[in-house]
Amino acid sequence: MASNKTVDIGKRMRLQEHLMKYFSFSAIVILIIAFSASQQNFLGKANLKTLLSDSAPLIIMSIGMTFILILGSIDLAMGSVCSVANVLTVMVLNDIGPSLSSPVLAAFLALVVSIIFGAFAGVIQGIIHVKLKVPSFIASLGFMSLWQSVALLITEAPVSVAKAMWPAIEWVKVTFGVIGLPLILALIGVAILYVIQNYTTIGRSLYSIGGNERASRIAGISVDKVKISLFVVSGICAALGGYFLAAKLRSSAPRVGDSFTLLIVAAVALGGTSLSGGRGGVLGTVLGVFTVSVIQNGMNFIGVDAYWQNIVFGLFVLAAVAISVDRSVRGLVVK
Amino acid sequence: MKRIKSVIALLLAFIMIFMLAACNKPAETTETTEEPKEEEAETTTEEPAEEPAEAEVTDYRDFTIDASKIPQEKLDTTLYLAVSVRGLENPYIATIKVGMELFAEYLDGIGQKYEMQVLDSGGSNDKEVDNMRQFAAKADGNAIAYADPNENSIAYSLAEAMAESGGYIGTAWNKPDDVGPEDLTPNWVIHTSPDNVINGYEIAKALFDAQDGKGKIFVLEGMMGNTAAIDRAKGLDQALAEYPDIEVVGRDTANWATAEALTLVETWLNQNPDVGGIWCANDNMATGALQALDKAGLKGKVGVVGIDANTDIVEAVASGDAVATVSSNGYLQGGYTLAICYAAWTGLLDVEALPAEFREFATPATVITGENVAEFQSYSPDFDFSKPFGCKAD
Repeated sequence: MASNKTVDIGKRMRLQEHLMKYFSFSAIVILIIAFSASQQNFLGKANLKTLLSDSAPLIIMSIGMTFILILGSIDLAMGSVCSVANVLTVMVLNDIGPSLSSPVLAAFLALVVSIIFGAFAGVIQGIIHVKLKVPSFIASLGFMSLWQSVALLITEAPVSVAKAMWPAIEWVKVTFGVIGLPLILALIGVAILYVIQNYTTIGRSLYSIGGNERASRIAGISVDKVKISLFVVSGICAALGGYFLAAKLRSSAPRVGDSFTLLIVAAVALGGTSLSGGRGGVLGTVLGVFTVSVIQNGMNFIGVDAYWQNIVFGLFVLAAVAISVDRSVRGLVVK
Repeated sequence: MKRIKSVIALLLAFIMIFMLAACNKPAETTETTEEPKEEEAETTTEEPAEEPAEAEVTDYRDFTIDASKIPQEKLDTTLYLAVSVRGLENPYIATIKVGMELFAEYLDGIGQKYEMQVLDSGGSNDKEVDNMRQFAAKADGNAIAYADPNENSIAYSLAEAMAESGGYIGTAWNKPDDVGPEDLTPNWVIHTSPDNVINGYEIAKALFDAQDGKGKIFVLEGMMGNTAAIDRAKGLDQALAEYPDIEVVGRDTANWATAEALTLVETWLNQNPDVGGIWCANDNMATGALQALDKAGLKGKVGVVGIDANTDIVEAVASGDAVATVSSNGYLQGGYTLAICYAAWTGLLDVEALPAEFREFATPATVITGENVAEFQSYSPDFDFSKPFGCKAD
């Protein structure tokens, strides 16, 4: 009897896992079929290019957030870290760029500055969360408003990248067929994080901590170190998102990241990562991001009113999470 | 296992996307659209041959869209119309949409097939550019749009988004000084704006005159970095220089928003309850200022001015609670911008030959005060879109 029951539970769990895993995937396929059947240019070269390249900043940021959510934590500061990196990038390009020998060098310098800032933001947030035992929600909420203000202090108003510096951001327009360079770079980022997730000690510890932090600690995993490193990863990802957005919009905007914070969480959730930690992965997140992009792009294509777009989007996220929540766990506490 | 499955899932996703793309593309979409494109190219090369003769002798102000000269295949192609704006909840922005609808009626009249839509950025730069690129991609070159860039800095990206797929765009209000329509000829057809400096100056003068040229004022500026905000403030400063007895006791940005204006004015009123007037860079903020005055029991005693001619402020001008506002005529901006882009799309207007003063120009605005408010309230827009440059102010 007992063994039968476990088999049943096992089966159910597997079914659920599949549903969850393929939710985004099947959603993408269904949406693409529906949109392309009703709109003849939906899969035209121009739109495909748009669809694939516009997703890059969101992919970069979402994969960073994936790790944090697997830990069972959350990083609400990603959007504003992205904003700060964004204004820093344009500041470096416009203020230091002209004195450098080439715009490419300026682009590289801006990239380095962004990454250093992202890592710094991750380290201090991680330390405050881990050492001062401030819950990640609150710690990142604090940093969210802190970095928002820092971004506004650096540049109150959006600044365009000076025309002379345009060569430094031309890379964003490079495409191979329908695939843009930003997407390729984002996917390289995915590959790197995939390797970290699956083939390193940090990656293995990640799932263990997310599943049961106390047990992991007893098992001798240096939980604090792992957590801080992962916040550094998410900080860098957020900063790279800001860098990409600066190139894409040819300008900085001190509030550019604000709208991303919750979009990132939605994309990761759609990708099957559990917000209670322990389950999920970066590949699922990529699918989640494409689901978000296809929904947004498709609704613009059909010409759905902006407010309705948010309703449809909200329903999608609810459905995805409702399907993916593992309700079989005994005494599951939903907070 | 799990890992392998997810890798397969991801790969499949990509394969599906590309397969679908591959099936769809060569089969119908591109071929059918490509053909007329080639013809377009021919017709556009033919057209200018007749055009310059006309253009040389006449002013572009007299340029006419002659419906009989529009090739039949153009009329039969579905043209996509859009206005890209910050948010329809703003009454001024809603008039831009009405402008598009008026222009659509004109298209009905000449038998042009079209579809129209509003691209609402909700105040996000990133979204506005994405919206435009997606809209342009859908239309595959058969698109015309009016865009009010959310910030100066994205004007070029918006125009570029349209240019990439070969549609035509006209921007309004905001753009940086070092870029302009000439950078993306022919697709970035025009950039227009009411003269913000003059508008800011005119309402300031009206306010100061209502205060007999003396007293304290609050200043609510628009979003930092918006051309409109900067220039309106410039106009205010010019007027302040002419009225030395006016003292500014509070000055800050309320980001074009009613709620922020309300909070600012409430705070300032605590320190300066004897304020004589409030200068607002737009009417949404004037609404907030009026609410704050109402709460403090000062409505009607303190002069308020704004810009945009929102219905509530126009009514306030009529009832004496506000001193002045400015109508930038969103109907005209939306409708005529699309008309000029339409002329470019049909090939009747050769954008390259268009002189600089017809690529960037001012559109008319009317200062509304107690004297002419009744006249304005009975105004209903009636335009002749066959003369698209009729919207040029000077």
